[in-house]
Amino acid sequence: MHPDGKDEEIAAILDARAGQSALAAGADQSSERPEVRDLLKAADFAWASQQSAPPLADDPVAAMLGLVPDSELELDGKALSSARKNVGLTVSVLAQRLAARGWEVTSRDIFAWESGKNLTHVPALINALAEETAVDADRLRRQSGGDPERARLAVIVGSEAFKGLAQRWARIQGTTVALAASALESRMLVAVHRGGAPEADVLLESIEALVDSVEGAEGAEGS
Amino acid sequence: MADPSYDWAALYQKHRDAMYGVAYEVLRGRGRTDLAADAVQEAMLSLMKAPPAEPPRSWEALLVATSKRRALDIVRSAAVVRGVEYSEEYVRGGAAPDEDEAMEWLEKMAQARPAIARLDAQEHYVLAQYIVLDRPRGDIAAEVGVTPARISQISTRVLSKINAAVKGGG
Repeated sequence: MHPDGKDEEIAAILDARAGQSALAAGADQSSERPEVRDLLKAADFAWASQQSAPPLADDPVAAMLGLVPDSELELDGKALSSARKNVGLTVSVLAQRLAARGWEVTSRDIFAWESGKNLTHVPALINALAEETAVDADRLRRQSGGDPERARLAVIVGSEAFKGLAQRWARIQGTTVALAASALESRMLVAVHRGGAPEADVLLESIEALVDSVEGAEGAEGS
Repeated sequence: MADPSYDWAALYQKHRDAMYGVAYEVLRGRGRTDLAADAVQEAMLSLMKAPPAEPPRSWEALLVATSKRRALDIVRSAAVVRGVEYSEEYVRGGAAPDEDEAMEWLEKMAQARPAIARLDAQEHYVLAQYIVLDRPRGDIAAEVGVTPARISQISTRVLSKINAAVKGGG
């Protein structure tokens, strides 16, 4: 199969973008030709779909709104349980109220927090829990135990190797890099909580093996 | 400053990728994607200062439309400062973005993503390296072990698939 004239024409426009959108680069060629215009628009959609917000720690708005996890403070699960019962809320109703505010929190998350597991370090989420349970946010916060595993994970998540894996995972899953990074981080957390405290390179290797295997399966399907 | 009935932190966490996406897209034409954080920050501050009286039909659409508006403000002010001609046609949706337009953009993004996820490994490599990162075609051809003309062919095929998904909703 040989490339036809349209392939070369589109490629010439893409080659000439120099940082602009494909539609802007091909304005002269596409104005009278809807089929060329559609493909250039598709190139711009593809470009936009691969962009994502910076990591929370590098996002000034996230910092302003209290979305950056604070490693020194964490939710006090017992205090949350007590506050929730005091206002007569069930776990599922509390989860629904948080979801209505925009938080992606499930009943399962709240059960875990109240059992002292996977405690959130996000100040804004702790504030939301405090508002819904009608207590001062300070009553739901406590000094973090300085979990060394969490600190180690934060270093791994900040590494270039992890970011590369997150980009690959995002492609496979058709999601954003941020969501993919979050999903991979959750998998590492599970591995850490199973015990054994694996080394950073072992954790990264296990995530890479997962990404390789799914990519491999995908490649086999496509061939 | 903020209306206590809206949880801005939750809303921002949920929709910040889309806000950045649209800001990058608008600012890209001027080579100023580095200003995307400014556009997003100004969008959030303006919404928090003057929150909608009623919850919008779609928070995502409102946040995206506001982010786009702020990014366009930046593009326009940069054009004025530099004394260069400002062409609205090729800054996506250069004229007054509204929530309906933002919803349409979000729908098209949602339709494009599964089509991208279905690309095979070679197609995805061409998409990422050539269409998105704008690397030289010849370099990518050498890495993949094909001719530059073959990269053009794969690229058009990828764009046709994305175009079909965006137009057909599949």
